[in-house]
Amino acid sequence: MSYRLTKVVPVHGCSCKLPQYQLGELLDQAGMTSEFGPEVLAGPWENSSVVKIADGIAILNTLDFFTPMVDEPEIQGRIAGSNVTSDIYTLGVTKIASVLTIMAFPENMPSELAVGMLKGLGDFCREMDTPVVGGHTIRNPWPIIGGAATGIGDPEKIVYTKGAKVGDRLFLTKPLGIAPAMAAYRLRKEEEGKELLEGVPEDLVDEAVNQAITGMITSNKPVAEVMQQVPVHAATDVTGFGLKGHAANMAMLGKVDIVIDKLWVIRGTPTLTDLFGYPLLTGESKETAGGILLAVAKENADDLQSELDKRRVKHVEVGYVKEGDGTVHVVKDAKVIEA
Amino acid sequence: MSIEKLDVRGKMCPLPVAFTKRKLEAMASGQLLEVVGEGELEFDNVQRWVKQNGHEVVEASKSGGEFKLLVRK
Repeated sequence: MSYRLTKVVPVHGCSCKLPQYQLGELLDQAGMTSEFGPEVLAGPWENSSVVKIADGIAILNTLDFFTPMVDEPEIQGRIAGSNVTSDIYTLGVTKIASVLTIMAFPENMPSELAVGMLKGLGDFCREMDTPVVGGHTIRNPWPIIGGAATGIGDPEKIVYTKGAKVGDRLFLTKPLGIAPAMAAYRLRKEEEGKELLEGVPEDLVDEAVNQAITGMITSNKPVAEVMQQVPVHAATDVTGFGLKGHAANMAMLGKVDIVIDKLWVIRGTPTLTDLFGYPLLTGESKETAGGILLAVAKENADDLQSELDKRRVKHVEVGYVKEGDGTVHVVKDAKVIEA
Repeated sequence: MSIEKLDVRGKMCPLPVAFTKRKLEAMASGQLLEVVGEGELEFDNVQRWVKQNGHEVVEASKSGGEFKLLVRK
């Protein structure tokens, strides 16, 4: 097939997100960061909005869509499904009542690619026991796929990005490095890209790409299940703002400092990032459908790890929380652990 | 001192940054590099990488969708 999903867009996956500062400015100008009523427990600053509708019941809503990461439409659909549902799971909520799709369809895109993306998203959601009940599709020069998810949770048990406490240990549930791995995936299909990758062992690229795709289509639902078993002070998923950007949100909202002293990365990505100039080893590389960063009290860390192990969720302790004014510090000689 | 040239017009991400990086690595400290490219995103990405990696953006200009950066290693 000559139409390649990743070839027709200049930015891929969560890399198409607006930078954090720009989004903040827009929301401020539009008056969308003003005070909400007491029933709104979380707004634009959170992974999902949370609105209490009755005692013991809150509705969570999120919308997430992006340009393609891969050329295989069903895998692309699965990545989109994983990404949108993750925004609910990140708050420790496992019940997603329904998902609506959003898709943009370029005039010249073969229809089987649209079918494949929708199928991948639908299959992923069904496997999470979540029905896809509708959606909206538009004509657009870039292909886009994603969805809106509605979750239902107990307001008393929801875990937010805020809430990290001094002394907490920080765990990450997927390795970093989606951007360099997927850049290699795209570049190896182009002559100039092949030239740049010359000297990089092919099996290193294979391994990085396989780990990246496997990671993106792996659901964060088991992490949400663990969050219902073990007290977690704060959580955020790691996507378009990178580990440092999402950790900075956690630090700012919790009014604490966060220290990242380990960088857990997809095997081979330090080599690739050196070639491409991505800021992976400063924790700033953009992620797509990434893992969840969890802040837990020292005394609950062993239980957390054991519950994650039970569900075969790989994880690494990447840092800790200390007193401060809301800053994130990525240690200069942070230990790099290749998955 | 002669100015090295690099044309990254029409190159897909991350090639503009990767080629700039490779070119600068092969140059002597203090030498100048002129990068010509296109696209807002590429303009931002190359500039950000240059600054974050200890090089100097001497001049930056945009015209008709293209950009020109003069970088001192």
